[in-house]
Amino acid sequence: MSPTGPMRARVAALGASLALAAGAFTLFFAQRQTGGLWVEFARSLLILMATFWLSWGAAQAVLGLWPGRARAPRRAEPQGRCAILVPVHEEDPRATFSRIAAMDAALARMPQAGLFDFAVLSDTRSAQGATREAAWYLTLLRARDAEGRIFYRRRTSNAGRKAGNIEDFIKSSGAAYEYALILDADSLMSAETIIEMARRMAGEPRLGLLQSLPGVIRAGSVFGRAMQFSAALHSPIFARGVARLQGETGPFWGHNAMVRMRAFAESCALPDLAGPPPFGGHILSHDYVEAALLARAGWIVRLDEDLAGSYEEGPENILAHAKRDRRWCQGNLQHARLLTAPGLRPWSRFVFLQGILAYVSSLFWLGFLATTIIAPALRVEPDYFPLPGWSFPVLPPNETTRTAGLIIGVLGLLILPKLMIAVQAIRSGRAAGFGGSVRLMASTLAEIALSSVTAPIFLMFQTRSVLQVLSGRDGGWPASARGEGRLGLVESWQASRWISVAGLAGLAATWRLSPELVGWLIPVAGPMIAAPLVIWATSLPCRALFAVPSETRPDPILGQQDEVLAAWAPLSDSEAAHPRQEPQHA
Amino acid sequence: MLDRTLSLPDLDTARLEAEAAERGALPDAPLAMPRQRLERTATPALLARLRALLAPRLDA
Repeated sequence: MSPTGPMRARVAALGASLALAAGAFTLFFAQRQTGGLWVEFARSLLILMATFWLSWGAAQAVLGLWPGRARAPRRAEPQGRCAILVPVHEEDPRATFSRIAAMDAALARMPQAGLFDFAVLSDTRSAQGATREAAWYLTLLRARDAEGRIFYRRRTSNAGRKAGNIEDFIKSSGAAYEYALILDADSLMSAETIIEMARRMAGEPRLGLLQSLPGVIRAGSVFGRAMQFSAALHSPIFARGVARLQGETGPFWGHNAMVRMRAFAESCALPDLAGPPPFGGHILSHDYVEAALLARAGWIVRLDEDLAGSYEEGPENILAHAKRDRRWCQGNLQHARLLTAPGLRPWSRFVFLQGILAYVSSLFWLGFLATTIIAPALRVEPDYFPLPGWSFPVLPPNETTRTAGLIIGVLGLLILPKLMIAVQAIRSGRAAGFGGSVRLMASTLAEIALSSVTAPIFLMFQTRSVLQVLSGRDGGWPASARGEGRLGLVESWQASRWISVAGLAGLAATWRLSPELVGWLIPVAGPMIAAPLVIWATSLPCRALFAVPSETRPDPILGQQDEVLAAWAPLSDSEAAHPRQEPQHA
Repeated sequence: MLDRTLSLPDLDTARLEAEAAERGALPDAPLAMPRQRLERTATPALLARLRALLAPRLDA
């Protein structure tokens, strides 16, 4: 896109979103004859905010589908060294180090191999976790003959959490490197992609951070595979839309991104915010802030969604997803403190606002549902002849018709972009990676059905997260839930019975106050009442649907990691944790 | 690619961690990271200006 491209894209996306939001507002407020004025105004305002948020998401998809090719990135052969940073916090070291071994082996076959070192930066606090890490690190060193090339450091203090961990590395060793590739414990990247990112950094001296689009891999459950499918099919299109909107003030998602060490060191030492958590203290969602600070210092921050070979693993069940979302929610809401930070680009401020809206919008939806249910109870006597001299009666708007209009609009904004992306994938030949056109469409429809069922459950989890943060509850720093995600029915029931109760209460209130809306509320209240079953069922294994390119045409780096894991299989975790036991040999 | 006869060293926990720390030591190449400012300090400055403005009147 031309330099004016992002501005044009922003105006178009914002304009369309505001127009649709205004339309929804008008639908509910222009003929305000159902309930009291204040209720009508409140719910019209709530639907305006909620519709804006939905439309904004749909606009990103449309922008991503819009024809036009991005300018080819400038590239140069990298000369400087690159540290591949793997921050870990109470992770499974066997799995984490197997990824490092695979990436190291892949890089070793490239002519640029000598430019790359790995550094495992541990914030693990538990004694057992530390011992396991040490044991598996020495195993990794021996397997890869990598002393002086793969480093391992465990901090005694976790100041600043992940951002502080990386800052600690830069302060002690940053001058040895031109670039740093920041990964997560579950990140996996092909050597070709790592080197291509270094080339793009070398080719554009103003580029401070280059973000790749990580695809989700190795999902096994219904929920995990649906997320993996959506990430593979939809995310590249949404990411292209985001890239077109953000231009040179792009995103940082905290991992699978390369930074210029000098730029990051100069710009990204985060201060603690005044006051206690959740709004004060350490900045939790540090990545958004680091991207904003790099842009403030004049560096380009760019998302190159065309970079393949970048992977991560995702949550395998709804509870793991909700747990991660609780952390992100607190981090995003904390950004309210930074909206007026000095010197930030306007777009960076908007990105903070967008992140806040992503969570607060759940309150808008819930508030809208609540006011819709109580509005008829506050109904005023309709005036059938409001115009003097007009002999025909003016009928008040039908609540059912408005609700139907709203549902059709919401479904359109949520479902239409997904269908458009599926059609584009079929037309462009991308469908082959998803098992062909028929399987792609079947998976798309299944994903739409599944996300429709899970949406009310996530609405409730998000609402609870927002209320917890607003009431001052700090979520702490729990270890990430990875791997096997199968849940028991009892566990699912215990974690979500409050959602069932809320769904039943909502349905009962609707039955009492607005019986004509009961049928329309079922798609929301039904999944809420069945939440424990939905959570349990979606954690079960699934193979039939949701084929993705990482399965049909797997990247060799995945096979490389499988090889490492197979070689390490004879070594049990207990052997790693208790090295006095006799080791087993393959 | 990998040595399939890997085994864990027969060391006690403290020695295992010490060996990992020693063999994993990071390069010694410090780089400065100046702390960034993210919160406006306008409120204290504004209060000081107000105080300066009001003080002569209050004294009078």
